Amino acid sequence: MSWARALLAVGAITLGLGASWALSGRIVTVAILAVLVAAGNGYSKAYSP
Amino acid sequence: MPAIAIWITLGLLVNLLPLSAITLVFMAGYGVFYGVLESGGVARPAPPGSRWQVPSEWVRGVSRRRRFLVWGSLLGPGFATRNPYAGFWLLPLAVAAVGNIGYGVLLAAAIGAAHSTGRALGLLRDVQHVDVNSYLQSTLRSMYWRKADGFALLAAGGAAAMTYAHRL
Repeated sequence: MSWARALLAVGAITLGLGASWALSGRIVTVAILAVLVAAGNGYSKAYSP
Repeated sequence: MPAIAIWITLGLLVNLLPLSAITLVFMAGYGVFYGVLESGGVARPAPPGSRWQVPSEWVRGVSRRRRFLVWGSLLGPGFATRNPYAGFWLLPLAVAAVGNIGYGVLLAAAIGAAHSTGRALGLLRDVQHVDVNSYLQSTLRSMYWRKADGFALLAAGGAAAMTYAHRL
């Protein structure tokens, strides 16, 4: 894994931790991320070879 | 609509049981594990999923209404089709993590709408801009989206871990 990718990965997990912490651990953070993952998964699935 | 109805049913069923806390733990583990693999470009282990495909006789030579039902109920929700991205199986976990029937159903409906809308937009994009016969182009795009899926999994896994920590 390249340094840039490792940094992005750490950034992503920190973003999730930070967003949930900022909202006092409310499930809404997980819910919003899940909806975004769902939209991205549906959109990207058409590319699967 | 059939896709959203199936997701709503799932939201109702999984939130009847007290699965919220344990699901958050699973979600955090799943998100970090597959997030590291996908963002790091590691191919194995492959994400969970099905290789089943809709038999052609189910959609060929049948009425539009029946085809709509088959595509909408089987392919729209995403459960019965091949999906190369681990992010998909995080979604049922997220629905079960809500721990409230009303909000669980609401999230399930939102996920069903987002996934099926994304799928429809992706298909429209392919029809207009992508050479579907180009295996190389398709594979490169898939690798790009796999990385993006990995970063999204890491963010969702982190959020699930913090949500669980707040409940302790």
